[in-house]
Amino acid sequence: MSSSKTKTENSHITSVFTGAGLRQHSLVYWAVIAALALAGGLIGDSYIHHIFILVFIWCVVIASWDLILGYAGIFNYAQLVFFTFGAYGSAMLSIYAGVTPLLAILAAAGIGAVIGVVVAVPSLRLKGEYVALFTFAVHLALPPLIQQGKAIGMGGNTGLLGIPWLNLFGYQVSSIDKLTWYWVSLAIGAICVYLIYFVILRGRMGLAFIAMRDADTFALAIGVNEYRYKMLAFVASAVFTAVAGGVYAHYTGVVTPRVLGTEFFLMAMVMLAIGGMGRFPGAVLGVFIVVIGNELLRSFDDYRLLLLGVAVVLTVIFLPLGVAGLFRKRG
Amino acid sequence: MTQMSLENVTMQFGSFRALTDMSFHIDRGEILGVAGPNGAGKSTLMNVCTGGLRASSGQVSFNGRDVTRFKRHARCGLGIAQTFQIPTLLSSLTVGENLLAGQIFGTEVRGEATGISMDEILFLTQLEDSLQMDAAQADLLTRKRIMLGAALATGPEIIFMDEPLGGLNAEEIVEFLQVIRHVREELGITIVMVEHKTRALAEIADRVLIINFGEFVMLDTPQVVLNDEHVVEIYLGKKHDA
Repeated sequence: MSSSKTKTENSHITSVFTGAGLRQHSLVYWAVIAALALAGGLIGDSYIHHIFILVFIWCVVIASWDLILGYAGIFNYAQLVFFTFGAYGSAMLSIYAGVTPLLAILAAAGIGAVIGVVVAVPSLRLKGEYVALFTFAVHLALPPLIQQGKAIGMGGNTGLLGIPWLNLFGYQVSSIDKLTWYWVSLAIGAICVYLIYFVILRGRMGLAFIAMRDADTFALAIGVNEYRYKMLAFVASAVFTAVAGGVYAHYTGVVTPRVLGTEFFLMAMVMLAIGGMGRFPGAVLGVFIVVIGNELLRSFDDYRLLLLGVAVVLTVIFLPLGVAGLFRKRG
Repeated sequence: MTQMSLENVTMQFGSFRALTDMSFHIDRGEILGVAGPNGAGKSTLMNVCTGGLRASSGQVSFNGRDVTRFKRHARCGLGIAQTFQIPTLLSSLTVGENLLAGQIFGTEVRGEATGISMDEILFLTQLEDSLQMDAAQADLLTRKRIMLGAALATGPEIIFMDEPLGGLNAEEIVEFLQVIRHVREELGITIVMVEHKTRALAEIADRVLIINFGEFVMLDTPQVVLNDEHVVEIYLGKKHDA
């Protein structure tokens, strides 16, 4: 049954944290991914491909946010800062240093890790809502910084244009080649989301996150090293988000400070609110619902945001835990 | 044999002094009761011992080692565990996962296996049948058992318990005292318990420490302490005040 790493006997305790159910759940997960991959091939409309590409990229951002906010209970609002650094970092590496985009996206992960540490160090000296204030201040401080960064080639207000196309082993994937992008973003997204929810959050790190969120003093008393695990939460969350930023940059071919705009930020909040935090697959489903819903509402034009707002209010009233609340029962 | 000792420990919060020049020893394997009126500094004393607070001055030693500056999780790694007055558990997890967390992080912070098997813990706490239950659904006594179980799973040599009997009815008190006694007898773990219920303390403790206004009053066997005129006065006087 459960494979215990510790020497002492704990065969009676079956838990997702000791690997219970991992195989079945993974099987279901990859079956769904395979179905999505197949569906991509069957869809003929490149606009629908485009919507799903955005969904897959958003899934990584929201899963990362769910990791730190929903699971670790850290009020981090600098999520799009990680995204921006990933996007700019990856774009600049490929524009100025000629790094092939796939490697640049990988490098974005490293950039994300560094930024994660930079944001974490001051945050870890703060508690609760003060973390929210500080991290959101970082978010607000970034656009002016990017404008100043014009001197080092960050493109200022207009942003960076002409970001090189993805080069898949000699095959150039243009932004118009939606089907290939569909599969690429699905593959990267699926791997990231799997690592977040099935590897990190079902391992010791996930247990530490939940322990700190549920009962911080008790967690310390049973030996959880708070500094270390909170630092890991920031780093892990930033790494995956930066990867998403990198993918986004090479897909759209453009990055501007608009990624830090209010609409993006609010959309991310709405996805978490509707999906629900701290309970897979809630947050990820939230992405599908919001991005697709947002497209379906496009014909309502000006009323679109109003309708999204109503959807959030209704969700908060009738499904306080989000869509995740529907998956609440655990046998 | 001395296991833990405090020497001239003072805890200052701004201009307020919660503990003044506190010195005493805790013997290995004893059950030490800590009592005193509300606001006497009992919780502060516990926190200074377990790492929730760092003493402003003085020294806290454990097994001959100065641990004054050690944080809570690091002290857990040395074998100092604790349970809290209000059992706040890992409420979104099962009972079994709460115990598992104690074992996993206790092992991690120690750098070696904890030395207390899950079987022993389940035997002592009698949680075997509720392992799959959500911790959030447990009643108070069960929550206390879970908290104690998780503390035991870290493999401690000493456990500080903050009002372990608080909120329990007479029947439950008898039951939980039995569990505490077993922890000492079966596992040889030292127990320090802050408790208002002096009758229960008299029954279970080897020695009782009385503090008042953050100062040491006396430390002796329950018979001596609870019949001491000064101690009775502290308690009754406080009662009338309140």
